[in-house]
Amino acid sequence: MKQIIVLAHDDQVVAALARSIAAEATLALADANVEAPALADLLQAGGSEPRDVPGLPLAVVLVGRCTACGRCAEVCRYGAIAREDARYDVLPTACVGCAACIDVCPEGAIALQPLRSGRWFHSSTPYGPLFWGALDAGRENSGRLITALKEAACRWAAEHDTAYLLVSAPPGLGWPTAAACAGADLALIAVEPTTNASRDLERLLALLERLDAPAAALLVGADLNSPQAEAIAARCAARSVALTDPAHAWELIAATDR
Amino acid sequence: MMICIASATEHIAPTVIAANLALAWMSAPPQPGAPRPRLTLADAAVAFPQAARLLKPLASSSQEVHIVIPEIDAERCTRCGRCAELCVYGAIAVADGRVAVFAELCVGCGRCARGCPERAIREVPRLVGRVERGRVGSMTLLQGLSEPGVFDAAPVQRAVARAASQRPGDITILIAPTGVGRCAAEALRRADYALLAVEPSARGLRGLRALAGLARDTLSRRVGVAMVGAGAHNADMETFCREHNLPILLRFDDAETLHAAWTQGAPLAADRPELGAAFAALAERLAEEAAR
Repeated sequence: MKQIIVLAHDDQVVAALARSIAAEATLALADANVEAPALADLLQAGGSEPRDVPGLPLAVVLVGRCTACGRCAEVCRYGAIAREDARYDVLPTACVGCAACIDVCPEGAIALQPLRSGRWFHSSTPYGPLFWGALDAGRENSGRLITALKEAACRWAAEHDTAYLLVSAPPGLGWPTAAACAGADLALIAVEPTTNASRDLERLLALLERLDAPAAALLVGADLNSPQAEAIAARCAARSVALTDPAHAWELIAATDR
Repeated sequence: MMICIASATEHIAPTVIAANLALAWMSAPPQPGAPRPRLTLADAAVAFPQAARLLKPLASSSQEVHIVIPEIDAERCTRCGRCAELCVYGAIAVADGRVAVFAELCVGCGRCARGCPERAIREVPRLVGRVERGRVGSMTLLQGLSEPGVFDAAPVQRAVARAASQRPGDITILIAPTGVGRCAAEALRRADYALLAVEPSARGLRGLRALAGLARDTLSRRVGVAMVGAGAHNADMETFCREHNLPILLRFDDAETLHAAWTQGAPLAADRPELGAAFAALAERLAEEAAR
């Protein structure tokens, strides 16, 4: 089974790739954009039971015990603890769960509380099974949920001898993108030739190099002869990165088998 | 006043709206008797910031952003393993008689350094990104850029927001990274007003539900909506906004024009006075809403 990661802002690009791969080989799909999932709608996925994924436990102040000494707020480096009336309170969207506040609280008034990160789903589409997820709002997207749904996808693909797992990676350079790209046999970057697209491409290539993910680029959304497109082509040539358009992506994907 | 422009699903709309809103504010007639507010556009979409590409600032300076990570003094260290016990991220591990730090997993909380019984850990800076500063006319443009290989965007986002001057009467427009998770929350949390850009689709509606809930219920921000594009779900979107008391402050049907400006790297209103008028109206409306 080969893992093909697609990094594209436009989910139609991913849907088109899914269709072209499914026409040639067996396919499973993973939508790693858990903050704004799109493939389930686009590919008309059938419903499924959600599975919960726990996140890192976060700090919570136990109301009866807090004496408002403020030591927790002093030690917190994330601005996650603030005074609320007669006590201190933790803002869960800012808390990173490090427990430094718990170390310094003289009253034992802070505890770590398990919180769900989000849920993932195993749905079916005409092209193969789709594993996708939805992060709970405000929760850290450090890759836990993405890793859980990818692992489920890989297990399914192994059990069913599937040729390809197509993963839709969320745009960015952070944990979500890194988690989506882990284990890539090929990372396809959909490049829109906006002005300065070369700089953004360079940043993404730097990330993919660190992740040992072989990269190739797909030019989408514009005239191949525009000056911006030529700049992209020159950058790809300089970095020895293959460049093609989505209609010819299958050739790059099939090459991962050799 | 800080206005945060965010979206659960759209990566183009927040930047284009922010850029054009900033330009509208710059051309707005000054209030009689009041000093002209200092305007800052702060781009906290730190992976691939695009506002500078649209507005072409002059004379940038750059400031590095660091977190601190542990450095072990091998002579004082007794390999007791307390640091590894304390780290919830697995960023520090004791094996084969030495202590290894995995910098990319470390969030810089300092727990290991504070907890080491031998005081064998000191904290040293790790570069996580930078904030670039430039000018567009009388406006300051701040751009955050995360360092590739650094996976936590939050410190650079915080640095961008802090770099904006916030004297009373000053205006900062902050562009949030796309999404509904912690990174979006980090951008929204200090805003006086959150303007959420939505695309009228089923996905857009789900995203709005999640992001409006985050901004208003979890973070207690004032929230309004900018509808971008026209589609089958416009009516559903209007109904949802009405039922949830979300004022629609901008309706921008022409997604093509937005996309063209994006690709060409230009703000919208150059040859379209009616668009300039729409953003001037948005600026006035936001000033009213935030003042309440």
